[in-house]
Amino acid sequence: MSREIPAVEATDLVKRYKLRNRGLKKEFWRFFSIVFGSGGPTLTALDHINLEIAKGEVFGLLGPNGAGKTTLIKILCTLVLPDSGRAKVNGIDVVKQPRKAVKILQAVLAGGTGFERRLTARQNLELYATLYGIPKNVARKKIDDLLEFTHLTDRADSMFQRLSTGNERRLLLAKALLKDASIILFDEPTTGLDPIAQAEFRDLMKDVLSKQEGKTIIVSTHNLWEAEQICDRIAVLQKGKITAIGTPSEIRHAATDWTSLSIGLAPPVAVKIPRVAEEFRHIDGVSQVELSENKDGSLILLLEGEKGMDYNKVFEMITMMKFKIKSLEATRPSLESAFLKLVREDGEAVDHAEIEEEARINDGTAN
Amino acid sequence: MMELPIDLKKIAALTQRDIRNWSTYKTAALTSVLGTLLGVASWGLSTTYRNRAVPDYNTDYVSFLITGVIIANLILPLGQGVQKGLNPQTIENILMTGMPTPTFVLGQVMWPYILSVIFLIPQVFIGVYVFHAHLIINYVSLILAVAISSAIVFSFSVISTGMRIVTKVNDPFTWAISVMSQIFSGMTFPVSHLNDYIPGLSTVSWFLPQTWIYHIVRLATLEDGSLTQPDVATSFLVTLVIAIVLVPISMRVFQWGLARAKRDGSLGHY
Repeated sequence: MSREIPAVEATDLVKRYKLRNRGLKKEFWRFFSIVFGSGGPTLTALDHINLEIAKGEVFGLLGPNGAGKTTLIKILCTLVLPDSGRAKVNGIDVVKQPRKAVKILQAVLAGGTGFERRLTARQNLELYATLYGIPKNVARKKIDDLLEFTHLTDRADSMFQRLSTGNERRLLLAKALLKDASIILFDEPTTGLDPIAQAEFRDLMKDVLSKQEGKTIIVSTHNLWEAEQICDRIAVLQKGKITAIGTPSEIRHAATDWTSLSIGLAPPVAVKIPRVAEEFRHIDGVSQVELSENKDGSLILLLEGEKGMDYNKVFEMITMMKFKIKSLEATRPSLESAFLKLVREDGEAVDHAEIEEEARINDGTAN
Repeated sequence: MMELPIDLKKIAALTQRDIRNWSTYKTAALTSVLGTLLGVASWGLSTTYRNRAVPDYNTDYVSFLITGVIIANLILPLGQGVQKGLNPQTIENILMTGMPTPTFVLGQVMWPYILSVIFLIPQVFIGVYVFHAHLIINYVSLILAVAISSAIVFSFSVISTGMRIVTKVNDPFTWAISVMSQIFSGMTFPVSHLNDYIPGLSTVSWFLPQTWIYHIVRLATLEDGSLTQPDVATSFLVTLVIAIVLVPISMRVFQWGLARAKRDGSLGHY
């Protein structure tokens, strides 16, 4: 049976940015580099990335600033060329067939909106509808629907420069949906939106675009809670490498061995708290024990430790002490704690955005 | 040491900011200095030719100058149109639409071109009725001259776009075209006048496409140049060959610039 073509496929993808120091001595080499396009030190933005995203999946890219998320998105959008490796969208190579590739994907990038500041919201959408090749009669209806969907009908005839940040983002979303792309890439999509709009946006991505319309959504975000809410799978990027990939639950458990049990106990007789706590501390996998007494004489036992905590021993101990279990709660590690652990394990993040800018200035691109 | 008053410090800080900004754009800084010097040379050459007859086109200096200024006004906006459209806010979004290169560049230059054609009418009117320019137009030749010239200027625009995607603010190509036009292309004085200063210097002019643009448009507007005349036909043919060579070259330069910016990751930068 033939395997279904993934929506996005990256194979051994490498991207390095040139990095040169400023100064007159370097000017000759800068000129040399512009002419011959090589030489000089580089900084690795993507380091042999391998990735597959299935059709209809909501996929999150997490990572600190400069981890390589935007570079990966821009390579998929055909706006940045990789140094080596392959990237495909719906089986189409983004380097070899960029024009074909952009037809099936749409991107909402963090930087420029691409809107003309002195055109109205509607005029801007009309312009892009024409550039996307949408027939005029179809476009008119679609624009009306999208303006209503994004709550911009009242502001449709306002100049873009008069829109609030939130409305600018809404218009950007309307533009993204104007083209019937099967893959949509969002770079920091909810930045600048108020909490209500953020919630609407999340519902839109998860429920409407992914579930109802079957589109593949790729979201780059710093918002871990948001990623956990909407993403089917997540990749954590650090210094251009994927350090973890899986469902939010898999990431949490793969990254942290930490687990926590909170048990409400009813002792048969009054107990000496420190001694009881000490007994639990000897159980395998338990690293921390807190035992506190409530006013009614019941106890709260809080055990923290590794994933491999010996639960049998915990309950044997409780039975042996003739405690009654009144309540039991297991606390799972949060995605945030998993993310922080993954990122900190690999040291401080390199600010690729800053380095890209540095490379640009020194590479003759800011002449 | 005596402390500067706080307002002077603020003025100094703002000035330092501008110097730092200016020096960041190295090519722009260099070309603006050189451009000033070459501008003086251009004006000097024009002034020394003032009010002489122009036997090259059997006309007077006013008619020659006015046609030169009109041609310049007609073709220069094409390059400017591309440059204005190339801001980082739009380029990534426009490219994401999958638009072919010629469509993109033509779309960028069309309105400035239409605007310059509209503005051409009062310019011709003032030239003819106020300054008594003598235009003897061969309309067939003029239409052909404008078509060939547009192809050349379009190529310049595409090359300029390709360069500017890489260099962002100022590119040496556009600068060179502009400076060469002022001094060597015969915009405000006949190119033969260059020989009065350095014998044989006018030969340089005929290696420049813009000299041929001025030449064929002047042949069509100043002396009723018909394509049946061998010397006129030859001039048109040479200009046509230049256009045919430049168009594909310009596309290659644009593709180079785009690929270069995509490799650098600087497409959305400014």
